[in-house]
Amino acid sequence: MGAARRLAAGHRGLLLSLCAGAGIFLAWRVLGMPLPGAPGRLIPLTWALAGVVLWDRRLPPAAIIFLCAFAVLAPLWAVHRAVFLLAGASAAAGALAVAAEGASGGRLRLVLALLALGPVILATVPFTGDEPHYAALSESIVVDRDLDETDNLHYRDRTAGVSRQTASLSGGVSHHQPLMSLLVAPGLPLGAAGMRAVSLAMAAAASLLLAGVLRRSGCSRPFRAAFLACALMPGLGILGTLYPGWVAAGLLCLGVWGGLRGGRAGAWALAAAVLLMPLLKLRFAPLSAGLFAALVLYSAPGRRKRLLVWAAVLLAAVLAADRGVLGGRLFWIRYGNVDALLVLMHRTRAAAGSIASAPLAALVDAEVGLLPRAPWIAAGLAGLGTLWRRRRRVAVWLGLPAAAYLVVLFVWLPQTWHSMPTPAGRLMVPVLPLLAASAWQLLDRRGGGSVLITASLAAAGAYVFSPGLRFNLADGTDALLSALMGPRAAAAALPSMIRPDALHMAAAAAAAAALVWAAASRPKRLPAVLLLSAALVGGAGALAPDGWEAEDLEPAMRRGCRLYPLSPDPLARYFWFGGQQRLLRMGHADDLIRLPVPEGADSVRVGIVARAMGEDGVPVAVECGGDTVHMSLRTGLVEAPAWVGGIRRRRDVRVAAEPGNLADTAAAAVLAAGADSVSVRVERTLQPPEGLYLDRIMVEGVGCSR
Amino acid sequence: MRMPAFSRVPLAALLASAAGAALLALRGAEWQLWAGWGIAAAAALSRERDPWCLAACVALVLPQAGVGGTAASAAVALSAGMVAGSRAGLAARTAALAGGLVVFLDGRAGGLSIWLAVLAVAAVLPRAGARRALLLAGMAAVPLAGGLPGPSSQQARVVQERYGEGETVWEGPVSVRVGEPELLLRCREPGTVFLDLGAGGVRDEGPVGLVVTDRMALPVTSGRETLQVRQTSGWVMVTLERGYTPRTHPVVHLFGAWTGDRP
Repeated sequence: MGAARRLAAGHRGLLLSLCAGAGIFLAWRVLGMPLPGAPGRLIPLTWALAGVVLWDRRLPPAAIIFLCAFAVLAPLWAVHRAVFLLAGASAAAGALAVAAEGASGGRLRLVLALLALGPVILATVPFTGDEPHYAALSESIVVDRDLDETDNLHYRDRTAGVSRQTASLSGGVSHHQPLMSLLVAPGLPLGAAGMRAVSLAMAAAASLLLAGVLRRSGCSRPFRAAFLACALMPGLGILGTLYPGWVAAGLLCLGVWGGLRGGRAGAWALAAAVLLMPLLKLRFAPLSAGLFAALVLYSAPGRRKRLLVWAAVLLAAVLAADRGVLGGRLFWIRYGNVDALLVLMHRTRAAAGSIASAPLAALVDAEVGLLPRAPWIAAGLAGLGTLWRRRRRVAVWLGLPAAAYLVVLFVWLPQTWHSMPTPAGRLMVPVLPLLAASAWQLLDRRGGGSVLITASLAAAGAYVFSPGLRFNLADGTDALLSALMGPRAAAAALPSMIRPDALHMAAAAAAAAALVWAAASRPKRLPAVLLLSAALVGGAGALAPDGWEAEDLEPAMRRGCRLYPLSPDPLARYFWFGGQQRLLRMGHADDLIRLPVPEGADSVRVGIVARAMGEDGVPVAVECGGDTVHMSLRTGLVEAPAWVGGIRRRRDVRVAAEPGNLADTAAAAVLAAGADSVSVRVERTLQPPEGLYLDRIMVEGVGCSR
Repeated sequence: MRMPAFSRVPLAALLASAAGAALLALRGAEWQLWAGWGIAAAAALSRERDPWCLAACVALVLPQAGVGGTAASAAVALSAGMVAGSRAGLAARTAALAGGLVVFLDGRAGGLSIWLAVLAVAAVLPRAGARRALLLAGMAAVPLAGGLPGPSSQQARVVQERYGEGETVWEGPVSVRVGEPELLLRCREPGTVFLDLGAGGVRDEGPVGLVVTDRMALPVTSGRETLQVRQTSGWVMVTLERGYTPRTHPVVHLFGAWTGDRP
């Protein structure tokens, strides 16, 4: 009895975690909450596993707060889907908070804390995006001994397979480099889950290296900080999935560790990081360049010359080997040709505005912005100055690779740097070591920043509970916000680069600046500034012109009609010249949109922003009661941007005649308000691709009498 | 009498939040929710560092974001409860209680009646720990006292259709769970509709849901099946026939539906 009491007294955190897990499991069942088989089991399991990692430490206050939130919200789950989502997110966030506290106990506990997240990641995160390609390539290397992935992925499932991706080359050359696939190959016998488990183990190794770097940056709790970098967004988005981001972050930390340590071991670590990074994915080559730049910077003048000569020789040897032995698969076929250089030259000049605004979008955009889904990033930005002042060498070793990576990312991929529809922030993972090191310069001090971590845990909890919400489709609305408040309110909550609104984006920029300022200078005011920022951004969104985005119309407001393109995958829309939003096609005589007339209006003004595609124009009827306005709409193709002509090396380039390349056209009709709704329809059936492609529709009351 | 310790930043936050919320409220939120928000937010911001007060403000996002009915009422009631459980003074707690009461007077917080009594008692208790314990116990008692609080009157959820050559296709998957409205499939003309359905989450063989038309009603049992129904009225409805009982999670999934010969 006494031994049991001592055990209970010494392991109160473990016991409370186990009890909390059991309580969540039982509450889920007693309350009849949906999805009892997956999150209803896996979240309690995560609490239990995190409790084992916690062992003799106390349950953290954040976990208690989240547990209370679950206790309050769970009985109300049937009231609204948003309440169910919040209840599940609270339960998951509590488990993350427990694991984070457990991870602070040392290296082993950090690894165990990350592995504790394994079941919920492996079982619930959709296996999609680039993951099947890495898996297929892995099988191709191990089983077929080639790099052609298109005849693979039958290892566990005969019906599975992948088709050639954009940028995959002829002759069986995959879009992906083989190193990542080679690394996850040990998990191949267990299928996707096995390969993901290997990926999670590699992320755990990366977190150990990150903890080492954080210790050198002066962080007092490096293991907890490293865990949070992995388990909060954006790191969580690809944690334990078949993406190379965490391996690259680990290699970067290895290189930084080697650079800071010096000596023979340090040199080997640095060389390994620099050489392996491009083999993982050519996108990571700037990280190698940044590491090398830091090495040159901190070398003696005489050694600098030798280093540069050796680097030039090595680079030449690699490129020669690529050309002579590998047939150009690594670099030459894709980038070592005139067309690639022309694209870089012409497109960069034309897309200068997009490239300049990309860093702001990367912070505040509704679908990919880091700050809304990971508020701790505000501390990361605010702490850069402190890191520079206190640990300049660490700042340089982490900062140069991160800066080189971001510049190349935004310049080389001006349209796809965000990587939608894959998890938001995926391509920002290599920057996390820098952001974590700078964030913990501020988060370590008393009285500040805990609200940022708690808010980030809450967001991460939502993405653990409902992993599908981390995938956005470049349609202007965030999946998580839409699940909470519907697409229309979600669109007003945060600005979008897909649906640009200068005022909304400016308000978000001001809010982000205020948040960073508060994190740096007024940490105790952070909660108030957080609220102020949210109110500012939401208010600016509410000031936007009233109307409906056609693709967001609820089913009750439209009969028939179909979204264009039918597939939500944004890849097809990235290269439209007429704007990247999804459109609503009206092409059947029975397709109809019905919108409410503002109360008290004598007449209504119906504004349509659309693309009309038809030989003789598209006949459209706008009706309200007995009043009907007929119009025939036709819109032309947009002109090809100058850079396209530059690449094709001729002036008269015509863009493909498809709806995505038509110019947006505005039309308006004023009708007497003879009914409580106004309807829009096409007057005859049109064969695709002909039709009316609606972008936006506005109904305004004119001459209100009441 | 001394004013509560408002510093400039929280006061600015309060004013800006109120302005932002007013803008959002003008887009459709009802006056009761707006009143509840105002009172509870004023109370919440009287102590800027208390996480309960911060959570109270966050809870108020939903009603202002266009989520209406019982969900919004519950959010306001929860917000008032969080202020009642915070370390705010008696005046602020009483103000929050008043904010919470507004939604109960509105009659939209069905199923949360016991929470009202708990809120009223908790708001005046002197110790914060006792207030919090009572509020948590009160929430645990909600399902025991009157079942799960459900949403207020809801309209049927329309399933999006697509028109093709003489046929109509309805896009799935769409699900009906406890507390969610039935699904409505609009038909252009009388005829046969095929529905690809799945159901489950119960511990017996009885019907989980029903497919209803003006001509017939067919039960949907556990498992996956394709049902064929006739209608002449222009609609088909899919409903859930189970209410809340502990240890069941009834659900009906509509994976898709179509008219004509489409398999």
